[in-house]
Amino acid sequence: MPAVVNKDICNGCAGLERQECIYNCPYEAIVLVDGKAVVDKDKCDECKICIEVCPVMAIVLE
Amino acid sequence: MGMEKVFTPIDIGTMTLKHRVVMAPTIHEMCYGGHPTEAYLAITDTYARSGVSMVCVGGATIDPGPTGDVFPNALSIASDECIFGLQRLAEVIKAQEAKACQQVYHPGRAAARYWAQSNPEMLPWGASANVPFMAAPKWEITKKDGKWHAVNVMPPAPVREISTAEIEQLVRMHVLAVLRARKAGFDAVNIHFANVTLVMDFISPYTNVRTDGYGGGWENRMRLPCEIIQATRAAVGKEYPLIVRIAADQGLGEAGIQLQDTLRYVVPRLEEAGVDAIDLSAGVLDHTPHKIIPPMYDARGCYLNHSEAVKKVTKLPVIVAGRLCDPRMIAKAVENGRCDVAALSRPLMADPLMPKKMIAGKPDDVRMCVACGYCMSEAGWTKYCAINAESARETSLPKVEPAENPRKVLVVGGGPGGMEAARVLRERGHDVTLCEKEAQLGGTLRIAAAAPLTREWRTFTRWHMQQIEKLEVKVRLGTEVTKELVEELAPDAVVIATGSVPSRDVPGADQPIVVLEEEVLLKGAVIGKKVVVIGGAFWDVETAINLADQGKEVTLVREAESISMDRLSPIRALPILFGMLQSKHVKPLFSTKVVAIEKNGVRVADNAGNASFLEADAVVLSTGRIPNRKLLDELRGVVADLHGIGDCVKPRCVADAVYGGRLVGARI
Repeated sequence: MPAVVNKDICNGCAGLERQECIYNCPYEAIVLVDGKAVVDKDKCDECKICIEVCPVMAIVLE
Repeated sequence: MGMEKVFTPIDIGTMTLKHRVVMAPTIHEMCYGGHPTEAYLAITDTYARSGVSMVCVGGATIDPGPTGDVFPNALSIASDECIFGLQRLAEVIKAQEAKACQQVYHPGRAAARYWAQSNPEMLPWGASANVPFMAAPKWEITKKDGKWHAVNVMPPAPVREISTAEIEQLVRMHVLAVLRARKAGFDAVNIHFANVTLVMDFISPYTNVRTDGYGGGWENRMRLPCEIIQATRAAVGKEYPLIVRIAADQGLGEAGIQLQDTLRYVVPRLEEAGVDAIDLSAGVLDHTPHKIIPPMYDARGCYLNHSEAVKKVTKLPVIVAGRLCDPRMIAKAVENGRCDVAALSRPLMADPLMPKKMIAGKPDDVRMCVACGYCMSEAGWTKYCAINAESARETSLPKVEPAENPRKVLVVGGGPGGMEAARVLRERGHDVTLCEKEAQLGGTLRIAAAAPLTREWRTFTRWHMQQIEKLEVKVRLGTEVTKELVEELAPDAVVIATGSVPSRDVPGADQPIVVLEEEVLLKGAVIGKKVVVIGGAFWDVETAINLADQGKEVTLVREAESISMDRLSPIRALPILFGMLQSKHVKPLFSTKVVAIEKNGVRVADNAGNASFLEADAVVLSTGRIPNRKLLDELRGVVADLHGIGDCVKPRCVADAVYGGRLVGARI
């Protein structure tokens, strides 16, 4: 049940100094693809920190 | 682990902590007459040996009278006689080269918990009298018309607004407590203005409606805490480290302290008053205990957003607690500056060696706290831990020591009980074979681990499996053990941990619309939209919520008056009662009995006997479990050294299975 980023809501933290989810993920499970965050479901440990820090609430646990 | 900042030192005033992982102040009770028992010294010693840079002994009451008496087994620092016992605590901690910190507090309204009922003249102290204390229930068991009834006879306890003379006394009590802690040899004091303290009640608009200089507006409400710090500084000097614990947010919305207030009014004034560090908690005990001690439904490290915000308004080091069970998350949070110090309470109960494992670069070896709330339930209240049977049992469990006579042991059943037995037996040097009839380990816990609400359980199963692999336990999956197989393997001892099966003891349980929890939560059975969950098990409401999350229209039928507060513990039951049932569109029918499951639904009746019919596409049974004792019974008299543990003896919960496994593992 990994974290999943909704591409329609995610704006890659445009205008902010960094992508909050990527910056805070303890498992290095998130990368930027075409300007949007994507979670690697094999690395995700469902800790939910990305859900907590996302400024636009684009992430849910599948 | 790659993140080194967590292992660097930090100064709290004149005190240097060798790294950023500390024990959070935790109340264990376990003290008689206010003084620590040997058992309390033993548990403190466990934390001191964990590798934390500072051990904080949980709240000691500063008030010697009945108004400071929060429960019979609480630690006291209210008189000079207390110093001897506290000195022993400080010594136990410092012997392991950790800094020793003592938390001190006035319980205020909470003094009502045990004695107020018999002492109506001496009401507990409050900032104001407007909010009575909601004590834990006290059950009176009576027989009426031939039937037994349990009635909660603990009404809300009234409190009294204290006078300015009593405020002065309160300030003095704090100062004296800090002086005693220093005399007892503590390196620092944690002055408690959170959770269930009188001073928090002064800070909060919820509990402070005073019309004197100590109430009405933030300046006035912060007057008392600042006076306490100033008076303490005057007595103890600038060098003695003072940490203050506050609630970043009480979880009461606008009615209480909110994060924005903490940032704007609380922290800056405390910094000005002269504290050396801010320690962040949240919640208020008798209204939002699930905010003080967040359950598994909340994210790991859920209060890092508080500490991150507070760090922006102060130069002081910021300590934070709240589900900091994940070593990688802690390291990352410190690296990113979201907090300066991580305070651990439950994670140290779950794995008292967590800091040492982090320092050794072995994060996967950590048995992560799953925040199940067992330590806060009726069953676990002395800080027993569901996944670490040794917590609070330091003086009452046989130690895990090498077996004098290594033997061949067969463990039947790979659930939490069986895996714990296998792990401990193998650690002691026995030759262990673990047989599991399914294709994977985990047992009944796999059902909980598959359900979104209770996913965190899977980290415990994962840890167990890793340990078993590391220890080279011989695991045979897809192997159902029979009497014949036992005779063939000829082990010297057998541990039966075959668990339980779902109970189907409901009229009409054989109807085609009936479905078991494991089928729908674990095996992905597809069912229709209208679902009735027939409850009875303590986790029934979680099953109902998980189904609602799948998009079902769920009705939960339960004979009891409410959900199981005792076993779920308030930290899981309250968020369910306060929000989830409504927001997840689960319709609870409490005090309702099932008459029979029929072809298209369920016939039910309330306490008055009024019957009704609930239409359903599917009926999920969550009534409880029955022991799977077949093998245990067959082997009696056949195997000389035979042991039964966990649900197959009596269905209870994970904690009982793990305790059984740990006990039998050390005995054989």
